Amino acid sequence: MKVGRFFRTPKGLLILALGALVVVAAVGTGVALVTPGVLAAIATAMLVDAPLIRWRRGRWHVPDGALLSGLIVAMILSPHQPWYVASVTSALAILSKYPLRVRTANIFNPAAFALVASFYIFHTGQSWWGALPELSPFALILLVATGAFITHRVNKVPVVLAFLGSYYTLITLAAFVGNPAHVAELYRAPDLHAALFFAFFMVTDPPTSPPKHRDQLIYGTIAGVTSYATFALAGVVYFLLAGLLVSNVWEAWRRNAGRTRIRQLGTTR
Amino acid sequence: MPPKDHPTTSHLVALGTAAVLAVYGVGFVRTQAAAARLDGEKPRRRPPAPVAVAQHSADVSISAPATAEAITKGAPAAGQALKVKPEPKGDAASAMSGAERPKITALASAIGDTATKAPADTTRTFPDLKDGVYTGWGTSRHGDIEARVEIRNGRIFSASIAQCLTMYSVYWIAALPPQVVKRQSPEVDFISGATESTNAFYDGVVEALKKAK
Repeated sequence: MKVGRFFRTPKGLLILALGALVVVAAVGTGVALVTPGVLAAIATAMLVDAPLIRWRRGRWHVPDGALLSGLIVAMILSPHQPWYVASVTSALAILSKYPLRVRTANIFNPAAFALVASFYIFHTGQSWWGALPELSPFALILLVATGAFITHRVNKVPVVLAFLGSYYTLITLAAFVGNPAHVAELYRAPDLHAALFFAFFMVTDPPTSPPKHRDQLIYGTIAGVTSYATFALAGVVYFLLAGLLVSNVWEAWRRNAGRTRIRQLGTTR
Repeated sequence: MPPKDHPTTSHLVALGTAAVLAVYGVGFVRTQAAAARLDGEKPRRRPPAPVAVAQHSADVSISAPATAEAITKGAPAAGQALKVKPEPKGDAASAMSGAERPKITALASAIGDTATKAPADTTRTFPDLKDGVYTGWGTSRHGDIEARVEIRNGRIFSASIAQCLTMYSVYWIAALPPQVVKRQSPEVDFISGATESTNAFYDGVVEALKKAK
């Protein structure tokens, strides 16, 4: 595929969007601080994925999905981590795609899976610096604009609305029922930026999220409810990612149930 | 390619977006006072320590627990201003109270068990401190930390993190308790990326030492 044509595909557009965000975020966070992690994560992800794709498909392909996974991992991990932590985390992301599959797609969002694993292996912090939390409020407009564009292009608007709707509904209820101070930060930077980045660029991941709008509503709601529940009950730094992993499991179950139904129909005819 | 937007779909998207914004707006307004209170605490300066900063008269090796990737800055001389590296704002934070935040007890106890026991400055004593074990809480927007200090013969004999309720792993600040013993002071180095947690630990030690008086 020609380069120009590739960058008009959803994956190509996502690479451009995240690339733009990472450049702007790097300027705000510190280019020297974030560059080792970004390069290590992307290079490792692509180097690990390339031979695996060759083995599976029989010929070489540019591992563009790995580039995205590496980029997302680097944009979420704290830039204060050593570069090898980003490297190992992105390798985990790629390796998680192959053994854990239902039908033709991986079960878990690779970046989310690896970041949670990395928390337990390296005790990593997650700063979500790629979501532009350290820049002026105008940066939020850039984040929302790129996110909304990509979401529309991959036809995942319902999943984003379902996630944000359920997540903020529960937080707002908690603010009225309990102490508002407990959830005040979730409405503001950096948590707001993290939630938006997560909704636009991770919950919408095409291989791990459902294509039909009705299923997207369920999927997004599961992600929102479990994210909030993880925050409220466990208080762990990866509460958003935990919500996504739970909804990934639901989607895998749905896909598997659909395949079983098709098989049963085939045998009765 | 996304399907061509049907007018009904566009209306539903607009309605859904408006609903999300409305819920967010209501919650934002509801939490504004609490957020302002937290913001007011953010740029706080360290209160003066109740225990004077001890001179580093001896260089005693202290077996510190695993420090992970915490990057500690060099120890400042007594009274020297600390260079503070700002904490990245991005660390997904919450303002959950210490009582409600689930406890990372396993990690905290791991640190507590390996807390240093070796006093470094053998000359410095604080007669106004009573012997015993004292604890104190320090708070930050990333969660609360309970510090524990043991006073023996007017000295800080041991220090540890009794409970770490932050959203970070306790390993990020595991290097701090040995510094309290080594310096006989709550003045610990700042840790890059964990400035607020460092402050919370400092506040916890200060509170514990106040109780020892």
